[in-house]
Amino acid sequence: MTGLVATGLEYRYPDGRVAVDRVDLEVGPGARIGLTGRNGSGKSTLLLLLAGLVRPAAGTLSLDGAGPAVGGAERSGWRGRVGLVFQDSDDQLLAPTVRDDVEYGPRNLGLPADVVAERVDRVLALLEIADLAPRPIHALSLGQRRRVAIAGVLAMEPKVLLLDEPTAGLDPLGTAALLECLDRLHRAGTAIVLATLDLELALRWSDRLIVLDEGRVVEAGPPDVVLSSAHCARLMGRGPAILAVGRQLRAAGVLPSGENLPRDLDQLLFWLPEPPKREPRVLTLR
Amino acid sequence: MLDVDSVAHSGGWQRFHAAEKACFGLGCLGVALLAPAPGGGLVVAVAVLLLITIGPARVAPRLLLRLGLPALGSVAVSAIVVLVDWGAGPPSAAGSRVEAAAALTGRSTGAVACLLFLGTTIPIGQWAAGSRAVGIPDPIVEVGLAIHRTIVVGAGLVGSLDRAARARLGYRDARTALRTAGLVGGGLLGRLYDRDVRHDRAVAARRGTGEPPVARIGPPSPVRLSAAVMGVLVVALASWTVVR
Repeated sequence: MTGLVATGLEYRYPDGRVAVDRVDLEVGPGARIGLTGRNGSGKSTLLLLLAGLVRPAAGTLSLDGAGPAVGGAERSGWRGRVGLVFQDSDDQLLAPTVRDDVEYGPRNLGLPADVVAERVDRVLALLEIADLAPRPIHALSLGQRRRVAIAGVLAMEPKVLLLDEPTAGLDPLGTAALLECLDRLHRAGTAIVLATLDLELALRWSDRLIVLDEGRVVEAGPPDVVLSSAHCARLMGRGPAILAVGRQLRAAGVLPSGENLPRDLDQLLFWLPEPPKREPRVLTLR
Repeated sequence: MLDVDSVAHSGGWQRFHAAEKACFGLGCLGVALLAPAPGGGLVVAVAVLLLITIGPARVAPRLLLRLGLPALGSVAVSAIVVLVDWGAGPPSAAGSRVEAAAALTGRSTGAVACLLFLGTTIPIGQWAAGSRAVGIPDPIVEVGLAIHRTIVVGAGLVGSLDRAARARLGYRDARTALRTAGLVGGGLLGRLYDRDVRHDRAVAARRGTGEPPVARIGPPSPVRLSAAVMGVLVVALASWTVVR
């Protein structure tokens, strides 16, 4: 089996509470998987498990058929191939300047200096933050720190990129820029798992959406189908307005039943009837 | 939240009054230090650890070991220091000090077990309220709370930074581990300062005076308090009986 495969993953907190309960997950090459659920539903813990940063109480993990060994270099190798961008960028940025921080991972891989420099330059260019390279971390905005955190993981060239609520706290333009970066990575073949509470983002961005509740997968499938389900509505509220309008359009016969529901504003506008044109009123001033 | 706090907040000992738990824990601590060494201290350690693991708190043995390991490591180092003759010439084993090292180990292990009992059964809020109730001056309690808060925040930050470093192979070998330790240590100081500044601002924004809110607690039940005293007496009796 190619890609990242998790079977029966379980994790318990030290006080015995179940955080992740028998989760099965497949992340194929180039997949875009959204992960959502209420606060405390186990999203972040599941990402930590997938990244090999906490040890599961039960279950197995494999990437392209090989699993992480317990401890040692094998496990470290796993972390090089499955990269995790933490929810709080401040936790992740360790070095004093942007370039130092992006270099941190590749240097830990033991790569020669010229390879490290080439990787760092490439990743900084990909995320359009090359101009930030010499700047100190503490002088960056939240959106810039988020992109530097992603760059630090991408410089290790992971096969699977895990992102924990990457758009939280970003302004709309920052979110759009980040999604553009993710699209570029997706086109380059990186599999991405994105945990988010933003249902519109999950609908727009993911090819497959998974809903967690109390550590269990309760819904999984195409995002428009998952977000239209009654179960998801009970857990997460009414869901994106775009879906609701799309359903109204379908009910009114504007959207053919064979067509998928719109997943972003552009698709929605395509199906919306144009408003009647009004003749401009001419006012005569006396 | 620290693991020890998490256990204290979620464990079954929550329903007991802080005074009852403090009476039992501190009483056993006294017994561990005063009972004939090394057997007395070890008996207290076994009794108290059994109470923590199979009593209402039901703390997992592995977690208990993790919580107690730093203190037990310190006990082991102390015992080695006593056992070795550090006089002129190269250090050598001092056979005559075996008894002293054993006594130190027994008493300290018992004391560590009692402190683990107090830590895993009494949440910090109950400690503060209880301390005030027995007349410990407010500034001392507040300094204690501030130290606790700094430890909690610091431990959380170290945990997050460490995890993020591990995610990028920061401990792959000795060289990278040393570099990572430096980065984590350096990062911790700045972040702790930043958190403190933000906390002060938040407190000031709510017109806080700097005094942390502390729950008030009523008097303990005399029956349960008596039971705690009886428990200590039973442990003390067991210690002396086993040793003699």
